[in-house]
Amino acid sequence: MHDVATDTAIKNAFATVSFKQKRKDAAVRWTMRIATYFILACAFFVFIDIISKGAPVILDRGLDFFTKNPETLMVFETADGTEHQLGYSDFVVWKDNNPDQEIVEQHGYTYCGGGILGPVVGTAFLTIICIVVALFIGLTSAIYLNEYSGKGKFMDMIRLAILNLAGVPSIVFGLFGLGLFCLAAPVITNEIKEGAWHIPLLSGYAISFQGWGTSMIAGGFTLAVMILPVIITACEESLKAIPMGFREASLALGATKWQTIRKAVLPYAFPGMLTASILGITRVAGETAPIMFTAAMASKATLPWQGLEGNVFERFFGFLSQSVQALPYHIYTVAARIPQSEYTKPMQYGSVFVFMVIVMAFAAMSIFMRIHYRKKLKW
Amino acid sequence: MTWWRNISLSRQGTDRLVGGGLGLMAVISASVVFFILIFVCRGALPALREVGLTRLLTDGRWLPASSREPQYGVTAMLAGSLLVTAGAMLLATPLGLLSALFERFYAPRNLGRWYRRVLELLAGVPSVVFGLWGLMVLVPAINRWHPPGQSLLAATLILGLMVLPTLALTASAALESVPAAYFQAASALGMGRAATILGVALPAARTGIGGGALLAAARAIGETMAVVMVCGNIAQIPGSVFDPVRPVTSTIALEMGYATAAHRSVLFATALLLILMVAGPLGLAAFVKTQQKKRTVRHA
Repeated sequence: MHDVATDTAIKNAFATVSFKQKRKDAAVRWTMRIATYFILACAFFVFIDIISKGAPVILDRGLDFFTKNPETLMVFETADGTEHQLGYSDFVVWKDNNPDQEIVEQHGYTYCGGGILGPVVGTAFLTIICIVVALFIGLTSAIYLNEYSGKGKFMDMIRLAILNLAGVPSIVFGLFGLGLFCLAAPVITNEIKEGAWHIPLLSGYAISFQGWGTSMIAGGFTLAVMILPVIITACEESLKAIPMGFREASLALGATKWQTIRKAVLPYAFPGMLTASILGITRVAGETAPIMFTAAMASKATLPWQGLEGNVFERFFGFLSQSVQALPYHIYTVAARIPQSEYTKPMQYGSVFVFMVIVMAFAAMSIFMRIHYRKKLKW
Repeated sequence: MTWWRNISLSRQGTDRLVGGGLGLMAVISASVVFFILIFVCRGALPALREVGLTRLLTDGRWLPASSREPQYGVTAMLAGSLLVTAGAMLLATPLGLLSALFERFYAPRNLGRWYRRVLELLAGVPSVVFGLWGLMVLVPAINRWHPPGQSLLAATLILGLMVLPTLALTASAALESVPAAYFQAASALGMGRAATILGVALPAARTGIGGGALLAAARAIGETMAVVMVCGNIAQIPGSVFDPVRPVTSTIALEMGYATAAHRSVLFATALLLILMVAGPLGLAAFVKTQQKKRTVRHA
C-alpha cells in the first residue's frame, strides 16, 4: 500500500495539536471518507442492481438462454384463459403439438425470446481475431521499440503516434474501420466491384481494393487497431522488466541478438504479455461503437459456422467475411432500439448479466495474474 | 541500454532481417494514427468543400437527411458534447480526488487496496452496461422527478460515474509518486495530516492529477454508447438540465448506419470536429507533462 514516509508524517508524536486543528482535521477526514463511501455505494448499486435482476432470468430460462439465438417472443392466450410465453421456434412446435388449442390473442416481441448464443459466439470470434492481430503487430512493435530502436526525432515521433492512438474516441475507430477495412481493404476476387482500384492477376482474378464489407474480419481488425496502444505499452513494460543481465549472459555465451531475444528475453516477458492480452480482451469484448458499422448486425438466424458452402478456402473466407451478432451490440439493440415492454426486461438484464460476468471474469483474472506473477517472478 | 540496442555482434542474415521486420511493424503501428486522420479527412472533404465549415457552424438546425433544404448545423451537438463532458467532470473530479486522498492517507491498508480493486473493476465495466443501467434505473427516476428523463442530467450522471474510476486511480497514482522526503519534511515542521495533504501532497501531485483529469475529459468527450442510450438524442441547445441533448458521438452512432452521400460526409466532418475536441485536452496534458519534466530536470 503506502510507503513508510507517509506513516512517519502521520504519526508525528511531537506535534502539538490544538482543538481547532483537530476539528479541521476531522472535517477534512470525513469529507474524504464520505466521498469514498459514496463512490463505493454507487459501484455496488450498479453491480447489485444488475446481479439481482439478471441472475433470476438466467435461473428462469436455464440452459435455453445459452443454447438458443435471440428470437421473437410469442406471448399468447389460449381459449381456456392461460397465458403462454414461448420463443418463436418453441411456439411453432407447441402449435404442432396442440392443434386443438385455440389461440385467442397473440403478440410478438422481437429479440426478447430465445437466448444469446449467437451474440456470445460472435463476440468470442471478434475477440479472437482482434487479439491475434493486435498481439502480432503489438508484440513485434514492442520488441522493436524496446530492444532495437535508437534515440532520435524519428523514434520520438513513432512513440508519440502510438501514444496518441490511445486518445482517439472509439466511434472514430468505427468510422476508420468502415473507411479502410469495409470499403478499401484489398481482396483477391474474380468479381471486381465497379470503380474499385485493382491489380489484375491470372485468369480473371485480381487484387481488388474493394473492402471486406461488413464482416467479422473487418470488425476484428478495427478492434485490433483500437487496442494496439494498450498491447504495445503493456508488452514494452514487461520487456523492460527483464534485467539487462539476462541479455548480457546470453550474448556472452555467443548467442546472436535475435537468439538472445527469443531464448532469454521473451520467455520471461511472457506472463506480463499474457496479462496484457487478457486486459485487452476485457476492453475489446465490451466495445460497441467500433463494431456498429464494421461487423455487427442485430439479428441472424445462423451461427457463424453454419450455412457455409464451397471448398475449404471458400468456406474459410466465407466464415470471415460474414457479419456477426455481438453481445454488446445485442444489448444496445434490446435496450434502445426496440419498443420497450415488460417482456423486454428479462432479455436486457439476462444479457447484461452474462456480459458482465464474462468481462469481469477476464478482468479479475488479469488482476490476479498480475499479482501472482509479481510475487513469483523476482530476480 | 544504449549499447544493447545498437549491438551488431551478429552478421547473420536472419538477424538483420528480423530487425528490419520488427522495425517495419513498429512503423505500421505508428502510421495507424495518420491513417485514421487521412480516412476521416477524406470522408469529410466533400462536406467541407460543398457545405463549408461556416455553414456547419452557423446553420440553425440539424436536418441532414432533408431532401428539399438540408441543414447542417452542428453547434447544438458541439454544445451537447461540451455540456455533458463539463458536467461529468464537475461531478467526478472532486469526488475522485477526495476519495483518492482518503484512500492514500486515511484508509486502513486493506480498505485502500480493496477500494482500488473495486475501482479497477468499475473502470472495466463496458459502456453499454452503464448505458443500460442508466436507461433502466436512472432515467425512470429522473422521469418521476422531472420528465422526460432522458436528459442532459442523466447523461452527465452516467458519464460522471464512468470517468470516476479513471480520475480516482490516476489521482491515487499521482499522490503515490510524491517523493517521501516531502512528507518527512512536513513531518519535521510539525504539520498535521490535513495540513500535510493540503499544503504538501496536493501541490506536489497537481500536475499528475491535472493530467489524469484531462485524460478523463478526453475519454468523456469521446464516449459513445452509454451517452447515446440516456441523453434523449434531440439536437438542441438545452434550456435546463432536464432537456434532452445530443452529443456529437451519438449523432455519428445513430446516423452513420443509414447516411448517404452528403449526409455521410457531414458525419465524417463532425468526427473531425470530435477529434479536434479530444485533441485539446490531450495536447494540454502532454504539454503539462513536458513542462513538468523540464522543471524536474532543472531542480535536479
